[in-house]
Amino acid sequence: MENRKTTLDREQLSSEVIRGEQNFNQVLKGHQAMKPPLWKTAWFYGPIGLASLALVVAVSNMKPNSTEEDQILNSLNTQEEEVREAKNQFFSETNSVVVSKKETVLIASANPELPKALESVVVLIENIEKVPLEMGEEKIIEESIMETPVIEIQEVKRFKTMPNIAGVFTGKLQIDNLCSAGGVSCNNGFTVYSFDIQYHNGSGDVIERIKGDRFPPFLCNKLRAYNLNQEVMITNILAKNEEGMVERLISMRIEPIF
Amino acid sequence: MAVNPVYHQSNTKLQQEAVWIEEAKEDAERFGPLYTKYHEQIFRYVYQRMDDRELAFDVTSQVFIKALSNLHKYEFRGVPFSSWLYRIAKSELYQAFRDRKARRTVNVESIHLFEIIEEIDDDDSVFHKKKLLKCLSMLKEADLQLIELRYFEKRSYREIGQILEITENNAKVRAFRALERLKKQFLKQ
Repeated sequence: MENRKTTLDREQLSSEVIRGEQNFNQVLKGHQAMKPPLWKTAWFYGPIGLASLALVVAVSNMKPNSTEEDQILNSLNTQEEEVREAKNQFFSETNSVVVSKKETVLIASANPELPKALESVVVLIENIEKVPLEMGEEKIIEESIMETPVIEIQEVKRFKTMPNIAGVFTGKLQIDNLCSAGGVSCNNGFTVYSFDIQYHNGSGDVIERIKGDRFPPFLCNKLRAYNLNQEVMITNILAKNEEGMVERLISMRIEPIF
Repeated sequence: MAVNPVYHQSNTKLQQEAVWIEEAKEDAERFGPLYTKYHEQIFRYVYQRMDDRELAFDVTSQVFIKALSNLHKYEFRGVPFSSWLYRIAKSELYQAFRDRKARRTVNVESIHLFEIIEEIDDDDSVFHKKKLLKCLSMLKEADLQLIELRYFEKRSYREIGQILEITENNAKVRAFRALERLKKQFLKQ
């Protein structure tokens, strides 16, 4: 049993004494003191909560993160990649120079066999316009890669070997070495036969596809004029191994300096 | 058994009380009439169960502060406002006991004690009075509460039921059983 006290016949308090102890102001003060501060009330958290919710909804709507969309984009990127590689492989075999932009393919050919060979490319890539080419002629062929159907092509392996230009894989490189040395090379028995270069041509950034492992004079002039102390990206470096199989080497980031 | 006139009110008075409550919900200062009306009976309820008079006034004030702060939760259901105040008072009392600010006290008047002895035994000697006091101090808290409410404070079963949040019949049954247990304890001594 708890600590309990029993008292017998305790003196009774009169109603007057009890009424004399009434203090309603004390009750009001106590009530005011018990009120929670504003920052603990719903009036404070309500608007903040709503604002946070609106922010989250806005951010989630801005972010195109649906898995389905990602899958479609990945699929299209893969198709684009496959078509580009098929073209590169074809043009490398036909000894032509291909200057490629995302939406445009520029073909400059010195090979009289090219018009005939181009027929087979058109069979492969339905969206390329059929254009008969003559020696030295330049034509712009529109393509819409996003609508290109999936085609079966020979597998191109990604090779994890670092290419270099005058021994430099990434970083600063003198423009003279870039243009006059052995071009893009690789030590593991690979011969580079084409690459993409992203650079500034005076009016904006462009990506061009270069056939061979050297930097052509027009490209060197552009790099010298507009790209000193700026990074240029060399990507999609395709090389042949000793067995003649096409391999892609890892991309380079070079900063031409004077 | 006498009926507590402040507790048992006419419908008109209950309706008046409901109006005061609604007004007090809008403006705390309108709680004054309810405070004036119920202060004494809540104080007596508290002081009946503790020894310290000043502390009993403090606990009573705390009961009204809590009531005022939680008034927005109160819903009028046709029973006197005091039944809600009693429940707050009970909670505040036990909080005071837990905090060891006050000691649980059973205040008994001889006349009430003799009434109980009469129900248990015909002999009302001083010896039996002491024995009964001892038995009361050994009673379980729930039984003691019922004995206090019914025999020492002379409350009706309806009022007891509303204070303890049980039905009137249940209050009657429980009070009878509590008295039986007291009797058993008394005869065992």
